[in-house]
Amino acid sequence: MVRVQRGKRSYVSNEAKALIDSLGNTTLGLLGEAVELVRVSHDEYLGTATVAIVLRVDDWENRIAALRACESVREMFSDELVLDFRFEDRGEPSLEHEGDRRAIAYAA
Amino acid sequence: VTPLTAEQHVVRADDHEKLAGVLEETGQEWAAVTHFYAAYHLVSAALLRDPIFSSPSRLTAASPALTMADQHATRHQGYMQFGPGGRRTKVWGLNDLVALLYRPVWPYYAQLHEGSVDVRYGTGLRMPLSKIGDAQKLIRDEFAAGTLLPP
Repeated sequence: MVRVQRGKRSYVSNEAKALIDSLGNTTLGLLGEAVELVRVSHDEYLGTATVAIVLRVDDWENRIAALRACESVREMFSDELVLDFRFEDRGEPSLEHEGDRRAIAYAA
Repeated sequence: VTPLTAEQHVVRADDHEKLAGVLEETGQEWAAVTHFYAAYHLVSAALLRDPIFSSPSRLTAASPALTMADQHATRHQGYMQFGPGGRRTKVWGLNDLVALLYRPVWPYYAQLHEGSVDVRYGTGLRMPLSKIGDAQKLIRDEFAAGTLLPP
């Protein structure tokens, strides 16, 4: 599992960084072979995170299966984060640098 | 906007579904947006009718962060806010409430929302319109059958 950090600014708190690392790696682990990449974009102030999933085969059935797998991720982090899940293409880092949001990518 | 009753939400859902049908006939991707809002109104109606919101013990069992007022949520995505004493509390969005209370349909609702966002703000719909339509009809059928309820 290789983690690649992108972003111009460092995290304000190590606690938030650890939380996002845990979210990214947990999602990656649960989705297994179906996933190529997971990008997590996080707003520490609002306590929100968007998990962008890049599937190896991006079709409807795989998206529904991936979201089913992510139900437990949502539960695990529900006390600390409000999560949103979406699907992206590999070369589509659309979530990076949105205002104060910071993004980290986790590659399988 | 004046808050709608459950009955008004159902009427609006029906209006949006009918428009989706018209748009689909000519392959218009904006059908995905109206399909999503049909589903949005149906889950809004389901929340207003849901007996869990009149039972504090069932609410707490579902989530300690859930309150009776949350059945009136209108925003899509929630967030955390600082409450008294610096304690963080959750402001629920409909996406989060569907995931918590109506889990069987959540992946479909999430895909309807994503499709709507793709059409309105992105490069266009990335999933087949027929799948989006099927997802909305699934939620409509669950609602009509009275099975859009917490377990």
